[in-house]
Order: sequence, then structure tokens, then C-alpha cells
Amino acid sequence: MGLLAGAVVLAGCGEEQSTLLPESDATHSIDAMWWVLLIGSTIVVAVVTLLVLATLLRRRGSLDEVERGGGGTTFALVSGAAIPAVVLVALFAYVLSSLDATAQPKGRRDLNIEVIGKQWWWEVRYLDHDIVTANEIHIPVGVPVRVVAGTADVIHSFWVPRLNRKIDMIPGRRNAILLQADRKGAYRGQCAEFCGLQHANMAFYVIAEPAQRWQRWAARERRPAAAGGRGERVFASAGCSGCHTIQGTAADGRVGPDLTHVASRRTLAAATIANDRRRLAEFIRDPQHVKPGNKMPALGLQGRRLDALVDYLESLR
Amino acid sequence: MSEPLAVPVALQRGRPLAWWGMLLVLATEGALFGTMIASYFYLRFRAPEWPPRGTPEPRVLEPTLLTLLLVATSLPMAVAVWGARRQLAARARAGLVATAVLGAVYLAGVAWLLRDEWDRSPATKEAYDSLFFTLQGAHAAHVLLGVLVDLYLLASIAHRPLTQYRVNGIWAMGLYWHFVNALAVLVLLTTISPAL
Amino acid sequence: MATTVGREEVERLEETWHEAPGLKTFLTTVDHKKIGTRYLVTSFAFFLAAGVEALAMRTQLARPEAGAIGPDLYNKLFSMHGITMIFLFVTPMLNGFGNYLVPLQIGSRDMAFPRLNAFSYWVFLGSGLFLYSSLLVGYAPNDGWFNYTPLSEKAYTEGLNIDYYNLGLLFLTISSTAGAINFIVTIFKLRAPGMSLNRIPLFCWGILAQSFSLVLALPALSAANIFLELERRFGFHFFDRPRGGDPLLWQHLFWIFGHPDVYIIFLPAVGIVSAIVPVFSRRPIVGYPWMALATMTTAFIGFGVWVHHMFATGLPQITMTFYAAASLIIVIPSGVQIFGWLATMLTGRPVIRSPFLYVLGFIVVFVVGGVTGVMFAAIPFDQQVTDTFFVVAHFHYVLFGGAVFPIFAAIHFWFPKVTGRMLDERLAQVSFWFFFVGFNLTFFPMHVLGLYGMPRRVYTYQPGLGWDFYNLLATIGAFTLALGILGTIVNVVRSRTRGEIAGDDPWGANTLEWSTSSPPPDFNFASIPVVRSADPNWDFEDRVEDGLRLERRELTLSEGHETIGSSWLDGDIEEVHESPSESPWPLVLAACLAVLFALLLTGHWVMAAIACGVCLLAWAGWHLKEPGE
Ligand code: HEA
Ligand code: HEA
Ligand code: HEC
Ligand code: CUA
Ligand SMILES: [Cu+2]
Repeated sequence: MGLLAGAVVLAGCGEEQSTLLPESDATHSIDAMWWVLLIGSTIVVAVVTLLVLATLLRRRGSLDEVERGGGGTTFALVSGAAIPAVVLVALFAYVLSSLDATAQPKGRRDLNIEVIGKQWWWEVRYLDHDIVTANEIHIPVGVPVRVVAGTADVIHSFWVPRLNRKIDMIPGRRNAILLQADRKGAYRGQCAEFCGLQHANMAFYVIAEPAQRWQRWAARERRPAAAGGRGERVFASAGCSGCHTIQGTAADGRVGPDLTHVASRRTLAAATIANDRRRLAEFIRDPQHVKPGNKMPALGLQGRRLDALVDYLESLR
Repeated sequence: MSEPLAVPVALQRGRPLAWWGMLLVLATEGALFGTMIASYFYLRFRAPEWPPRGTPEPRVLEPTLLTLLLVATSLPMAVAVWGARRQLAARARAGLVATAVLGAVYLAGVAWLLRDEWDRSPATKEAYDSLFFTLQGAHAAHVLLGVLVDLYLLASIAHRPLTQYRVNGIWAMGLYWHFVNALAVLVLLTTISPAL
Repeated sequence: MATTVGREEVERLEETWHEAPGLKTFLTTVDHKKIGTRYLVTSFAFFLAAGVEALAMRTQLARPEAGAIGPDLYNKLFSMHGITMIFLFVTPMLNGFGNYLVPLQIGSRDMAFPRLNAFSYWVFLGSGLFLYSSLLVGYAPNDGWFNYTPLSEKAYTEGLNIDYYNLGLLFLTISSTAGAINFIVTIFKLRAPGMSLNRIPLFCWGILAQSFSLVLALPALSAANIFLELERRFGFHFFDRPRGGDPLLWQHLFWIFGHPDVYIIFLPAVGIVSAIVPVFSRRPIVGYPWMALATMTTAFIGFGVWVHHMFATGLPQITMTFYAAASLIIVIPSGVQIFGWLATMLTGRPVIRSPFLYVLGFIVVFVVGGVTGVMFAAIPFDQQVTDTFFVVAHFHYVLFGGAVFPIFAAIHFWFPKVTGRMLDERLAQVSFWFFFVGFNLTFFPMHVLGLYGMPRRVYTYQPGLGWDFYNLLATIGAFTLALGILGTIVNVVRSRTRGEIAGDDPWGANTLEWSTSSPPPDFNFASIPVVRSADPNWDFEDRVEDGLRLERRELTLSEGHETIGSSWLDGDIEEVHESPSESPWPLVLAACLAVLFALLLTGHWVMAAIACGVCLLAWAGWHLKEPGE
């Protein structure tokens, strides 16, 4: 336990997904609870360990002798039942008092988002704006945003450790959670319920930015894509449009992520790879190599056609 | 401490081990049916309508009559156990025969009923149907097993003396049978509940 | 055993109980000691298999973005690891100790249903092989040990993987249930005269609590398995929302079984600790009735906490607080036991030997796992760390710490009884330190990983999240731990033939198994012992009296293959049971069941129905001949 405390303190910054770097009311409350629990637990473990060590200090016996009788029951009942009972009642009261901080929000808020887990990426819909995106959630700093968590297939779990606890995405249920970031920054989130082959690579980012920047972002997201010439034609003819939507074009597939502004996102394939030209091309050429088992097939694109396609996608900002 | 050492010879004071064993088998069976019935109500209370729209309500009269018939077989089974324990082989046999015959009649009735229900609304349609058939099927399987064991016990004492070992078998079997009959009532009440 | 009368009695007993060594005996024996040993050896083999699976996982996780193992294999590995450890290792291993020791500790000559006991073993072996055959054909279960729907439905996991899971567990359940029933009846009805309920050894209380929990909890798992198999094979609906099912129904059913199951594993292990602590503290256990009561209470409350595995599913707050409260209450019986042991040690005169070292290690390590369990009862904290490596750390501390440490203690403690030889104490202590240090090095860093946000069941992770170092530590720890285990294996193998001769009672222990020879004779006791306290082997006059009674031919039951039946409360003699001897039928019936499950797996329904009939015939064959005939 002491070791744990040490390790925890050593934890540098830069851990985008650490529960120990809280950035919201909810996670501050959880974090405070963690320290209480850690201290309490350390005391319990220390007491027991010391008593075990104390045994070793006692005069040794011999296997030929036994001592019948002897007390100790009161000690066992007081320290094993009575004292813990008091501690536990106090703990329970504390738990009850802290439930609200992470409770599911009831009713709509100023900003409402629906996130739908899909094997193995996240569809993000802004319910009050006409915005559909994927694997990246932009929110204004300091504003509590209500996220409704749903699923299109199996159970996933929506989790941004620095902003709130996790909430499962279960078929037939609509769970909700509040996302709020005290400071601007990029907060990594990851699917926390085992959901099959690529459960490990089902992550995303929450980008918290000042209100004005957020407004600008939202305005841009609402715009359809500009015409893209040859690349756009490849997109349609190669079969991409059967699965992907690009607003403002004929592509309206719903199987994969909306690509209308794909180039503006920081990562690709649910935060599996960084979003740059080389990796984008590599992903399109052989998605199964980059993210084995994911639901996008390789369509055998190469050479100039691939270049044109990537040019086009890179223009979708 | 007084000397407890003289071993009483062949004086059976407690119930046989087989009976205790059966009691525990039934505890686990009870838990199995308990969970299935709990699942029924769990899904029922999560459903907007029960049975779901387009599914007919369960029959009440026929299954109730059949269950009454089954419950009545506890009587001949009790006679069989009673007879066996008192070394009245003829009684024991008669009890077992009556139980098996009535049990078989019951099974035939259930088979007809389930067939008919399947035509009206098969198990693969909705969770409601799946639960209905799983419960009924599981129970019918228990009755079937009971009848087969009953026949086996009958055969085992047909030409051979009613030894303690056989008596214990019949005793344990009696417990099983009464229990399955009690389950029949629970299963019946569960499955007809939407129509009540 | 000096005089002729006594020797004659012993000879007669030897004649009636002796089983000629050979293949036939191997296949037909019903001797609880042989069956117990088999359980131990078989389940330990499964432990090694699951351990190797774990090492493979740790190798993959040692570095970020490692390429040793792909996602498909990784998913099978952690699923098989969890399933094997829980179902094919700890539970049957503890049952193995139970099988070997319960009749000896209560002064009986065998279990209540010896043939059923043999049957349980064969079914366990069959279902274990059944589950492992899935690896050979490439369809090992791959959705984790709790196998959540809808991922495990046909639509998302098409292959036989999940059918193996459902059918394998149903098959195994037959064994566990039969074994549990056998233990309960044995402990209630076959105790030595004078062993009233308040004198039953605490290990037997642990087995009793385990058995009751198994009888009542397994059906929930079976119902879930049956439902899911009907859904996958015949298109029934239980868990799919559009047709009126609910995926959470699976979670409830699984955890209604799953939580009691962790105490099913834990309580016999606690029994082992309660058996060892007094022996090496040289005094009776503190608060015996409280310890027994705590064991039973834990089992009982264990049925009311399952929802704490579902705190992130969005259940109503009021539901969650209820189950959180129950999770807190269950701490109290564990606290009583921990402090009961500590009190015993602190008021006794300790003797430090390898079994005791493992017990001391257990106490420290289990408390660490226990307090993280308490943390999960703090709902918001659980919602933060559930499904991360923090949970993985918790359950290895309680499963490995709470059950495997005691199992290793038991191996060191009872080895002399089973083999008649001592283990090498030096090697044992060296192995212990590898074991203890390796264990903590493996699992302690997982707490940190969880707090740093690493989810469980990921086959790979990206660098830069702060996880690399702790994962590497854990991997190094796992291999260190493996060395400790290897040391123990070497020790056991070597000492079996070369160890020092142990004698009947090398530890000066308090329970009845130490009053007979090592290894015990086929009939366990020449004259059934008469008991007057909870530490009968420390009642030296009584044990001398047993020898005298043999001379008087009292309670020797040498007329046949017999043992004593007693009343369940006071342990008064009620009757003499004719205990069945060798029979081929348990094996035949188990084999028929194996065929039945193979047919179900491959979807041969008509053949399967016929196999059901054959099983019934085998059952009838079993009961055709009466014991003693
Ligand atoms: C042997 C097995 C075992 C044991 C004994 C325990 C013991 C406990 N467990 Fe654990 N648990 C598991 C095996 C076990 N568990 C497994 C396998 C899982 C994960 C399954 C999966 O997801 O795959 C799990 C998961 C699990 C969860 C769900 C976590 C999650 O998925 O989010 C929770 C939540 O409440 C929990 C709680 C507890 C509690 C309160 C105890 C208590 O019984 C502990 C009580 C003991 C002590 C506390 C120590 C001794 C007491 C004292 C010294 C007295 C003083 C103490 C205090 C005042 C605190 N466990
Ligand atoms: C009693 C139960 C038990 C035990 C003892 C263990 C033991 C170990 N477990 Fe665990 N584990 C579980 C029960 C258990 N486990 C469960 C239930 C899960 C959850 C599964 C799920 O999510 O569905 C899990 C999951 C789990 C994970 C998480 C996987 C994930 O979520 O991605 C990891 C990762 O490190 C792990 C590691 C280990 C290690 C390193 C050991 C080690 O302690 C193993 C030690 C043993 C050995 C190392 C073998 C040594 C022997 C030799 C090497 C001898 C040489 C060999 C021969 C002679 C053949 N286990
Ligand atoms: C069969 C359906 C399908 C087809 C056809 C398909 N995709 Fe995809 N695509 C997907 C899915 C599903 C994903 C999400 C993969 C994941 O992350 O698990 C995806 C992801 C992507 C991404 C990453 C998006 C992001 O924001 O992370 C890009 C870019 C992409 N596809 C481009 C293309 C292009 C270009 C084509 C045509 C050459 C194409 N896709 C064809 C299904 C498809
Ligand atoms: Cu989605 Cu894990
Ligand atoms: Cu639990």
C-alpha cells in the first residue's frame, strides 16, 4: 500500500488517461474518495502486517508440546467485528453522500450529445446541432455536457477517466453521463467493456476548448464537404460510399464513420493511429494490417487512384 | 461419557443416506427452477405487454386439469413408499404401477398441449414463448425421468426381495416425485399467470 | 497393536478393503484417498496449463504494441485462463483436499456415496478435456469467463467457441453438484461417534459452506448456459432486446452464481488456514464457534451482493446502495476470521515451517485484496476503476492470495500424510520467497495500471500512457512466480520417493487424520475413533483408548465393507453402513455423458437423444447390483 502511494505520487503528468489527474467535479470527488480509501486501507493492511510480524517475535514453541485453553476471543471479536463495523458504517455514510457527484443526469442540458458504440469505433451525434462525427468529441470548457450512451451492437463502455466515471452502453437501454472539463485539453477515453477483437483499439479523444473556439468548430462541422474532383469519384467508384457518409456528396453509407471532416480529426480508426497522410494511405490500403479484425475491408486501391483518394480525404477539413 | 461403543445391529433409526442425497438434489433442482421462474418475471416486468402483442394468451383450463392429475399421483407414490418401508411388496408395486401409468398419461397430455401451443406461437417467436416452452419442457423432462426411474424400481423389485437398498431407492424416489409435483404447480401458476 | 486380537482385526480389515493394484482397480476404485489424489494431480495440471496461458499473456503485455500474440489468440488465452483457473483448478483442487481429508478428519472410512465420488472425478476429467479440446480445433471460448451477451450470441461469435463454453460448464456442473452433495451428506451423517456439530474440524466447515453454496448457486449458471445455448442453437430469445429479451438478464444470472462462486473458492481455503494456524501456534484456534459461524455467514451473505459487479450498467441508485451495503457487511465475518487467526498466533508459541510461511503470506496478501474489495463497495470509485487492471489486481490478490497461497500451504502441510514422506524444508522455504515476491511483483503494479486507466482484456496498448513500466514489472514478476512454483513441483516430485520418512504425525497436529498411519491404510482407521473435543488428536488418552478398543474388537466393523452412520447434530452412532466397493459404472456413465455432450456440441440431436437413453441404461446398470452383493 505504501508502495502504491509512492508510485501514485511519482506519476508524472502527461498521462492522458489517468484517473489520478481529475479535471471535473465528478472526478475530483472520486479522486478525493480514492485518497480516503487508500489511507484507510493502508492502516488496515499495516495493522494486520504488524501483527503478523509480531507473531514472529514471540518465543518459539515446539512441535512436541501444545497448550490447551487460552483466551483471545474478545480480542478477535472486537478488532475483527466491532471496530470494522464502526468503520464500515462511516464509510457507507460517506459513499451515500458522494453518489450525486457521479449520478446520471436527468433531463436535457445546454449541450446534448449522443455517443453510439460500434465494433470498434464511436459515432458522435450532437443532438442540438446538425453534427455527426466520430472518435472525437469537442466540448466547450467548463460546460456540463450530457452524453447519452448507446450501442449499435454489443455492450461497450464509455469512459473518459479524467472527466467522469464510466457508463456501459447496453442494447435497449439509454444511459447518460455528464462530461465536463475544468481546463482545456485533450482527454483520452477508451472502451472499458470487452467487445471483441478490437476492444483494445477502441479509444477516442475529448477535446475541451474555450467556448469561442468550440463555436467555430461547430460551425465548420455543420458545413458539407466541398467538391473534390477525381478523389471524390474514386471514393464513389471504389465502394467507399457504401459504408461512409460525406455530407454534400452522394456518399451516404452508415456502416463506418462519417468522413465529412475526417482530415480535421487528430487520429484515425478510433485513436489507433495518428491522422497523417502516410498513415491514412496505409490504413486505406490495408486496414486489416493496421487494426486486425476491424470491419473495413481492403479494397485493393493502389498507386494514383489511392493518391487521389487520399488527396481528397486530406481536403476534408 | 458413557460407552457408546456397542454397535446397534441393523437398526435403522435415521433416514437413509439416499434420502438425504435426494433432498440435496432437489435443493439444487429447486434453485434451477427458481432461477428460471425469476427470469420469467424479470423479462415480464421489463416488457411493455405480456404476452407481447400478437401472441395469444396461454390456455388455462387444460394445463390446470393436467397438473391436478399429476399432483394426484403423489397419492399412489406415497402408498408405494409406505408399503416399501413396511415390507409390503405388493402395495409398493401397485403404488409404483399406478404412478407410472398416471404419469405417462400426464406426459401424453402435456405433449399434445405443447404441440398445440407451438402451432399457435412457437418458442422461437419472442422471449415470452421461449420462457414458456423452456419452463414447460424442463418440467416435462423431470416427469419423464421420474416415470423411467419409477419403472426401473418396479423392475428391480419384480422378481427380487424388497431389500433395504431397494426400499431406500423407493423412499428417495418418492421424495423426488412429490417435489416434481410441487414444481408442476409453480410452473403452472407462472405460465398461466398472464391469463389470470 | 501388539496383541494378536488387534492384529487379526487389522488383517481382516486389510482383506476386505484391499484393492489389488492394477489397471482394473485404477478404473474402478472408489477409495476417497485415491480419488482425492487424482483430483489434486489433475487440477494441478490444469493450473500449469492456465499458468502457461498467463505467461503468454504477460509476454505479450510486457511491451506496448508488442506483436507476439494477436487479438484472436489473446482473447482465447484470457478466457481459457480465467475459466481454467476458476473451474478446473481452484475449485477441484480444493475438492481434492476435501475428498482426501474429510473422511479422515471426521473418522469415517469413505464418503457417503463412494461410487458417486468416483463418478464426480471422471466427469470433472471429461469436462476438462472437453473444454480443452476446443483449443485443438481452434474454437476455444473467447468472450471471457463471464461471457457477456450479446457478444456471446451467434450474431457476434459465430463459431463453436461459446457452445464449448456453455456445454463444457454444464457438463462440469454435474461433477461439482454431485461432489457437493456427497460432501454435505458425508459431513452430516458419517461422523465419528462423539463428533457433535461443534467439534467438526474447521476445514470441514469450509467444505460444507462451499458445498451448500455450490448446490444453490450453480443452478443460476446452468440456467444461463441453457438459455444461451437454446438461443444460439434453436433461435430462442432470452437476451436479445428486439425480441423481448435483455442482455442484463445474463449478467444477473451469471453473477448470482459468480459472486457466491468466489466464496465457494475462498471458504475451503479459509478452512485450510484454520487447520494450519493452530498446529503451528501450538494451541487450539481462538473462538472456534465464531470461526465456524463466520464461514457459514460469509457463504450466506455471499448470495446477496452480486450486483456489485454491475455498478456501471446504469442500475437505479437505490439498487446499487443496497448491494454496496451488503458488500460492506460481508467484511465482518472475514474480519473475525483474520483476527481469530492473529489472536491464535499471538497467544500461541509459533513454530515456523513452510506450511505456516504460506499461511502468513496468505494473511498479508489476502487483506490487501480484501481492502480493495471494500473500495469497490464505494460505488463511484468502483464505477471509475471497474473493468480496469485495478479489478484484475483485486481478484488475483483474493483468488491467488486467498486460495492459491492456502493451497500451497496445504500441499506442504498434508504431503507427509499422503505420501508418508517429508518435503525438503530448505527448498520449500526458498520456493516460498520466490512465490511471495513474484506474486506481489506481478499483481501489485496492476493496481497502478488500473488507476492509470488501463482497461482489462486488451491485447495491446499504446506507449506514452504511463503503462509500460508497470506492465514490464508485472511480467517479470510472473516469471519469478513461475520459478517459485517450479521449485515446489521439483520438491514434490523429488520428495515423493526420496524425502525423509514422516511418521504418523510429523507436526503434532490436532485432527484425526494424524492419528492414523501415513499414508493411511485403505480402511483409514482400524477402530473408528471416539471424539470428545474439537482437537481430538490432542486428546492423547482418547487416542490410546482407540488402540485399546481395537484389542476389544470394538467399533472395528470388520464384518464387511462398513462404516459408521451417525446423527447429524450430536454425532451419536445410528447405524452401520455397508459402503460400496469398486465399480466400473461411474466411469461408464461418465463416458456416456462425454459422448452425449460431444453429440450436443456437434448438433447431432437424434444421436444425442439416443445417448440420453444410453446414459439412463448405464445408470440402471450402476444400481442393478446392491453394495455388498
Ligand atoms: C476468492 C475470491 C474473492 C474474494 C474472497 C473476494 C472478496 C471480496 N470482494 Fe471480490 N472479486 C473476486 C473474487 C473475490 N472477491 C473476483 C474473481 C472478482 C472479479 C470478477 C471479474 O470481474 O472477472 C471480484 C470483483 C469484486 C467486485 C466488482 C468489481 C468490479 O468489477 O467493478 C467487488 C465490488 O464490490 C468486490 C468486492 C469484494 C469484497 C467486498 C470482498 C470481501 O469479502 C473482502 C473482505 C475481506 C477483508 C476486507 C479483509 C479482512 C478484514 C479485515 C482485516 C477487517 C478490517 C477491514 C476493514 C475495516 C475494511 N469484488
Ligand atoms: C485462481 C485463479 C487465478 C490464478 C491463480 C491466476 C494466476 C495468474 N493470472 Fe489470472 N485471471 C483469473 C484467475 C486467476 N489467475 C481470472 C478469473 C481472470 C479473468 C479472465 C477474464 O477476464 O475473463 C484472470 C485474468 C488475468 C489477466 C488479465 C487479462 C486481461 O484482462 O487482459 C492477467 C494478466 O496479466 C492474468 C495473469 C495471471 C498470472 C501471471 C498468473 C500467475 O499467477 C500464474 C502462475 C502460474 C504459472 C506461471 C505456471 C507456472 C508453472 C510453470 C511455468 C512450470 C513449468 C511448466 C510445465 C512443467 C508444463 N490473469
Ligand atoms: C464494409 C464497409 C466499409 C467500406 C467499404 C469502407 N470502409 Fe472505411 N471504415 C469502415 C469502418 C467500419 C470503419 C471504422 C473502423 C474502426 O475504427 O474500427 C472505417 C474507418 C475508415 C476511416 C477512419 C475514420 C476515422 O475517423 O477514424 C477512413 C478514413 C476510411 N474508413 C476510409 C475509407 C475509404 C477511403 C474507403 C474506400 C476505399 C472505405 N473506407 C471503405 C467501413 C468501411
Ligand atoms: Cu467497445 Cu470494448
Ligand atoms: Cu462479487
